[in-house]
Amino acid sequence: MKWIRSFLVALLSLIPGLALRLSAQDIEAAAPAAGFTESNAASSRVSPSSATSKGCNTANGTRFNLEPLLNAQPQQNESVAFLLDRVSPGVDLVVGAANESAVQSRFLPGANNGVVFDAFYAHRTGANCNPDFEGTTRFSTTNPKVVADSARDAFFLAADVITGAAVELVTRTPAATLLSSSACPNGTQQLTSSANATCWPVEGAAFFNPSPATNEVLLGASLAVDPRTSGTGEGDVYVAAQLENTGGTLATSTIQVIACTNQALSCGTSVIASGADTFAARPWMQVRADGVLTISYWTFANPASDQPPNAIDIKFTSCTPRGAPQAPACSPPQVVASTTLLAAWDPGDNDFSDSLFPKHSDRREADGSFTTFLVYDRCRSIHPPQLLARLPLLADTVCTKVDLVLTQSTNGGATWSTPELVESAVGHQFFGTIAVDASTGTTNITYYSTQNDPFLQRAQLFLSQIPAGSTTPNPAVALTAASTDPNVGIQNLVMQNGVNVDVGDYIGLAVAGTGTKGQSKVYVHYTWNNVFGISNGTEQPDPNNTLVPFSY
Amino acid sequence: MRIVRVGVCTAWVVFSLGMRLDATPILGCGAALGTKFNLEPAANAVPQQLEAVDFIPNRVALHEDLVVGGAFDSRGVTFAPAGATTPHWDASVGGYYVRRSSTAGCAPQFEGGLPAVMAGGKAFTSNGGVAVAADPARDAFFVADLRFSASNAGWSGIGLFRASSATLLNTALCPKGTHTAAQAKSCWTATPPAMIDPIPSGGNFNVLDYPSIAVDERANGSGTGAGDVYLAFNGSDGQGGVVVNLVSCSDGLSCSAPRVISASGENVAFNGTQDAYVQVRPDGNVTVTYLDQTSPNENSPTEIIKFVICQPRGAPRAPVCSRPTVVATERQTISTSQLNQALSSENFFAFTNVRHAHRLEGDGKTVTTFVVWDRCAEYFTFLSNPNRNQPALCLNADVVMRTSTNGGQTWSATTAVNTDPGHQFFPSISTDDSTGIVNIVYYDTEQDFLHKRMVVALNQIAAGTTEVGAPLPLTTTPIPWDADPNQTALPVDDFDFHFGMKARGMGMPGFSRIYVSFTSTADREGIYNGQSLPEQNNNLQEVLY
Repeated sequence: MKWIRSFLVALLSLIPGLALRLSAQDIEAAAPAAGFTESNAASSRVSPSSATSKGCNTANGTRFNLEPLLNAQPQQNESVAFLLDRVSPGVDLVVGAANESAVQSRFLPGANNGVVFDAFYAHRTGANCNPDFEGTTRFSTTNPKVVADSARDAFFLAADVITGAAVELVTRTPAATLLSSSACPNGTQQLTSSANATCWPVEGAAFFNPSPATNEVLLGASLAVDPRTSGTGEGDVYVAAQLENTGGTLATSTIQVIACTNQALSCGTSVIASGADTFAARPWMQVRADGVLTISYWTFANPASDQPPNAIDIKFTSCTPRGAPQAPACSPPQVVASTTLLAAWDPGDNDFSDSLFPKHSDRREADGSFTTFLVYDRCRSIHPPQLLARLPLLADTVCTKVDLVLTQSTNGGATWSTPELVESAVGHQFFGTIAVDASTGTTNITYYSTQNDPFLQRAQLFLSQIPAGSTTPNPAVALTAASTDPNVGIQNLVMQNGVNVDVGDYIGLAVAGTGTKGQSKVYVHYTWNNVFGISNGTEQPDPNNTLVPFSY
Repeated sequence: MRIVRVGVCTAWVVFSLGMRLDATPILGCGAALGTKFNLEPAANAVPQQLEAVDFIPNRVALHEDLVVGGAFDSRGVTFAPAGATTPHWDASVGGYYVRRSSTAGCAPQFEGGLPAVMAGGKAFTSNGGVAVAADPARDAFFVADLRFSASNAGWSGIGLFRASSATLLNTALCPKGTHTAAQAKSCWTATPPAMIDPIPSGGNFNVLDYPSIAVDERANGSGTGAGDVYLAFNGSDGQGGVVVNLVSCSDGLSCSAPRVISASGENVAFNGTQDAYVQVRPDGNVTVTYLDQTSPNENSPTEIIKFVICQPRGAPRAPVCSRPTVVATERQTISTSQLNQALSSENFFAFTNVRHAHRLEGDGKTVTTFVVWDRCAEYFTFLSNPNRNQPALCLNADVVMRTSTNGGQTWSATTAVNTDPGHQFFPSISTDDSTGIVNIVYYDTEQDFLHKRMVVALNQIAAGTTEVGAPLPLTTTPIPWDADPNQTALPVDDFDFHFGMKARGMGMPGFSRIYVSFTSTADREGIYNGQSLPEQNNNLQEVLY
């Protein structure tokens, strides 16, 4: 029969129109439409059975929590810190922190229906990236963040206290304690009355307002430690927070800083770092190698207006240490850059909110001067609000293209360069963050990018580095071969406010090295949905805090 | 040349039959995605959704079908500015798209918004819900849609248009390109459109739902009702309840008054997507399926799938209908439990939807009825449902089926069409009367590793059997529903995401077609403020088998 088929095909091919039609179909069947091919090789799901990594997963990163997969709930808003080679040569002591947003939390004893909003996760064994133990703070807090203090061989964990008070909980633990399996046993530490007493033995509280007004709330504190071993302020721990008061016609907000002692976490009173700005938001704080605090944030240029477009200034200030618990002395803020667009938007066709959150890092140059690099997510243009019928009230503001941009200052923030793109590719680059490797002078910038997804939705994690002495980022490398979709999973869990997917506001980045090429390490702690949880017997994408390392 | 083509095709048919060649489907509009089936420019493009499609095979030429699609087209959400000379839609979101030549592949030659209909001195514009039915025997197409009064808020009705194939092929009456309102009127009103309103003269009856349409395709004179057109739609009974209406119209659009065919005491589902669905059997009997949600507040996942069969009396006389019978009591329906939440990982509304089709068996008398619907295999129950009045979020949606061979008196057990991992939903079904092959299409997320992006899948049921064949992909690139900047965070038309499908053939392998019109986000990107972003389009796929 085969020859008959061949004959027929040959016969049909003599008919011009039909031949053309068959040919076109064959071609179409063989080749997906241009511009919309999807690389499944770069889009891999991690089955629950392989959720624990034997090494560090280079496709997706490694899930950095010990949550059971059954009824798994989201983690987001990550932070990370580590001490290089602290466990053993080649094995770092890594501590992560993230929001948990979990009811019936695994941190609560028994069948408790309570909610835990924050957690820490620690890796101390082996060359993999798995956490060995995890726990939560003693109080109801959120947005936990962690920093390492290599000079004093310790870690600090801080989080925003939720209930009423404008206070930041700050805790401290020596590295030796984290390495102690008796003080910090493996597994999930249950929240009991003695929780953290052994694993995070020192507790302090940074009271931004001992008598907070009814409508005052602390938002998104930033944590930093003075890495020095000498000088005024050496080893001091700083908390910078946004204090917002919504009691008036227009909300007011300031950025305030508190200094705490290193060993006892004795915290002083706060000082305003945002000058005369009446609405300042999203503080990001670092301590330079000379002990000077540097703080970036954004503020409305016209705080008396609540009508968009209300121009936004990104600002920067520096504060001179005076020795904790004395508050530092802050200089007047300077404008880094301005935008007339909004402070939050949905990246293109993605159903989650990306908000303006500038972050910076300071690099000490060979001559002792400092270069400050600042990155922020910048929207090129806002798609007009949805005036289409049936959806106007709930439609979100869409940014047609989100860029990650970089600017730098070499004079302590007095002037700044014109912001330049970190990545010129298509898609959206967002949640950018930055950290300088003091040992090499290499500046590391990491971010999500949807550039390789034909639909510009699924993101990979990228890293771009600025070599020492340079101010130009090198081409970025993908830290994850796979991509993830922020907008998947169980809506009851990932759409916390009922409309937008809640993937957090930021990701964590830490970097350290010995100064020798090949011995520096980057850890990125981020949200990733490719490990599936199991709900009612059905596998579903589950947002997890995830860790990926990079050596250079 | 045409003689040569016919000869070769005849030879092909003879050889095919002799060799018992398998009718392996061939995708004619691009295997990856199908083809965008509208002419909208890329700049500030808006979504097209809720598709319908039908066609007359070989109407243009051999292997050249005349294809008419419909969709909710967001270009029509605003009136054209005064004095505008460019094509506009005059507030009609009822889009039509016609392919009358394959020279441009599967793209349409013209499109537009269905014109306004005057009734009771008022203009009624399309509010979407376009349904399309072809009538090969009389060489015409019928299009129905939901109509709202442009001047009196809350006044609504069902519009019904007829256009002959000759008109649609006439480049003077239906010029190529995007039609102006005048061109839309020229193309669709040679037969004066009908305005169907349960309360005559444009009464205040503002809760009608999208219509479905079917034609008795039997030849003239072959039986009572041949050539009649039927519309089914849900609507308020004026007393706080919802009923299912059936209307019969003649080929010339002389229509009966709406007749309520649901039973008193039922709580007919009325949430935008659970439309009544009408079909005509090969013997001329008219059938309707719909959902009885069992309580007025839809506070239970249980809904009863109802079936009504009616005997034609010749339009505009209304048919005589049976009392509703129960196809199935579905205890795990899909429902939108909270804003945006129906299926996990998907941000659109979804409700269990029922479609059916008929097949005349080899004895020439028995008619097998196939009813398909989507259901939830597994709910999310770990957290309490924030809206306790409705079913929970569905973690795994499936498409299932029942059959009847005695006019709906009894039904088979429920069987799977596709119960694979991921979501299978929004089924459509159509019988290729020429071969007896039943075709079922639906969205399927199994192929996406995150079970979010969807392809269109097809299952076929061979003639003489009720066994469902293996799924076949009609598109191979999984596409996300939410990749359109105009619908973040909500879909533009946040309900009723059915899509269109029709199968017809010539009775021989290789000469049957299925046309599927569905929502895609992949053919081309829109341009917004100079930036390229994916955007939604009504796409077309042609399946040859």
